[in-house]
Amino acid sequence: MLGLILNRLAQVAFVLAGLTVLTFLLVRAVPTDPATILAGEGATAEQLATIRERYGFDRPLHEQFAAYVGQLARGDLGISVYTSRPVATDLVQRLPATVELALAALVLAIALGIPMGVLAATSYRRMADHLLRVLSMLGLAVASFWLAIMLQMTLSLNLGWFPLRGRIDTVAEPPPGVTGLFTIDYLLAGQPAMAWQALVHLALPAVTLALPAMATISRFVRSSLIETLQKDFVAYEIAMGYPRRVVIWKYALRNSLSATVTQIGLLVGLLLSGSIVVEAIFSWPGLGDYIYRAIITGDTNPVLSATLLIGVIYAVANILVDVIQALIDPRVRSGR
Amino acid sequence: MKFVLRALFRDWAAVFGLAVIFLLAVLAIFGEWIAPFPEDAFDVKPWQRLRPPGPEFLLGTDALGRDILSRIILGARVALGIALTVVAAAALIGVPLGLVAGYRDGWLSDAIMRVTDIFLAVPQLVLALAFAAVMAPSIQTAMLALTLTYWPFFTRIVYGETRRVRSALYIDALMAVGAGPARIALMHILPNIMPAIIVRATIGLGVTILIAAALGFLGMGATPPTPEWGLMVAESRRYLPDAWWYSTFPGIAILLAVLAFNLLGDGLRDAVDPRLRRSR
Repeated sequence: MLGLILNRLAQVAFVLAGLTVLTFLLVRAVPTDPATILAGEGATAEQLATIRERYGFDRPLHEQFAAYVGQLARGDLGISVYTSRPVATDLVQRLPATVELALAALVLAIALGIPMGVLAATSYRRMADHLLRVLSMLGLAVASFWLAIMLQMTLSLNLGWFPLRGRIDTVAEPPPGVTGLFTIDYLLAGQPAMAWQALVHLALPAVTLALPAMATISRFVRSSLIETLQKDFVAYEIAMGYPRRVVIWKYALRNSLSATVTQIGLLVGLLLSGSIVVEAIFSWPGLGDYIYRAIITGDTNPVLSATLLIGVIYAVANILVDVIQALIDPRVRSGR
Repeated sequence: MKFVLRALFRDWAAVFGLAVIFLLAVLAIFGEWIAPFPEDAFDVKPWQRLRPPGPEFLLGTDALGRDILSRIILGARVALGIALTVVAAAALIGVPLGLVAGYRDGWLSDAIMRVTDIFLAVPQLVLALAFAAVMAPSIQTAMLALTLTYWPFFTRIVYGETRRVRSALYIDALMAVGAGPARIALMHILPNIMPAIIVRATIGLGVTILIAAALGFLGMGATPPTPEWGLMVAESRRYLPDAWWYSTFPGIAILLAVLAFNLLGDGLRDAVDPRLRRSR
């Protein structure tokens, strides 16, 4: 078990080092001059020269890279031109909002996706199965930016059931930071009304983000459960007179979930990339919204640092998947 | 081949996907002749702005008075053009790399797969955005960013499939009669793994349309006045909720196009891989 984790950590370290090189090359080796981007349009030649010298763009590439790695190691991710604050500070401040949104979406996706998959598998090739297949195909094909706008248009602007954007009303006071998740922090501070407000704000972005993940889970649960239900042990249990509900939900589902767990890494990817679009539309003050703002203002430091951070989150999620799998499946634990 | 086609045509969902793709292709090729107002790709007609759907403009007009149906039809070429270019270019990079890495052992093979891992370490949209962000936004930039982030998917699948086929007995036989590695890889392994590549490419077309639309929506892809679906949705946001048709219809176009490629991809996979047919 420990060996498995160490092995995966070494792989991840290599991949992240590679990602660092890639993002570095991205800014420094593209044909566009980074100094012109930083200086903005209409900068004088003198201003450009100052910027080149200050940021070291005039030095050889490998020296620049060494300096960049040194900065990263000290936790210095540079300054954001847009917020004029250190990128590291911005990222730390914005991470909890994304975590809250992604967790809410993940819970929704699992809570709906697994029962949907089970229902589809148990009604294989019948009406419910066909309907759920259409639903999950639509969930995977819909553009989340469009879905978000449709939800805003109908449920917020026309019906007024949900707020249009933000984590809480603009006049509201944020909760004392404990976990950074507003819904939980308000509850901890004994403000249930505000927790409800935060939850209502969370609803539409979380649903938008959850839909593709839900579709993915339901498809995997369906196909692996169909396979499991054809196994001998299921036929045996049914012959023994166990209630069908128990056989499916207790024995067959647990045997099918192991295959589904490997897809959680994929889900985290879906949630992370979906969060950029969803946060930008709902003005959700998380990482995705930060990346979006940095991109449209041509602010490269935050874009690259946030890309690296997403790489780290993605890698950690994939290690966790391996560990969880080892925990629920003894064959993986013992190295097969 | 005949067997695969027969299996494919029994799958109603795949047939539906194929029909929509055929329609898209017709629109992409003959769009100018089909669209009611082909000049609306670029024209500005302020006197008829934001008209709701009606007999004259079936899907309404946008903020510059352009017919939305026409722009959706003209957008089919943009969407399909981007998707085909990106997937073809990504396959041209990814498939040879996967073949080399899968067929040979040693440092080159390792190096290829490690680089692939690096590109797969971040979700595709995030990496594509990072690429697009350091260059000036345009359709060409978006295509480059999408190609640079999609080839690893081909490399990985080709690598796995090549490893699987490589251990087959007939490959040993070919080596025994003196066939060279290039000949074996190109003439004997590649045709055998082609179905996997085609399935990946079909699904890739859908994924690419979706991500290209997201790039357009975020302002990192097509620039106005290009009739690009994602860009159209972005332009419509300011006119909500009154001009509901403005956002709704381009989004449905994206949904249908992506759905079609996903359904066909699923159908193809089931048809070429009988093992999966029962469970999908």
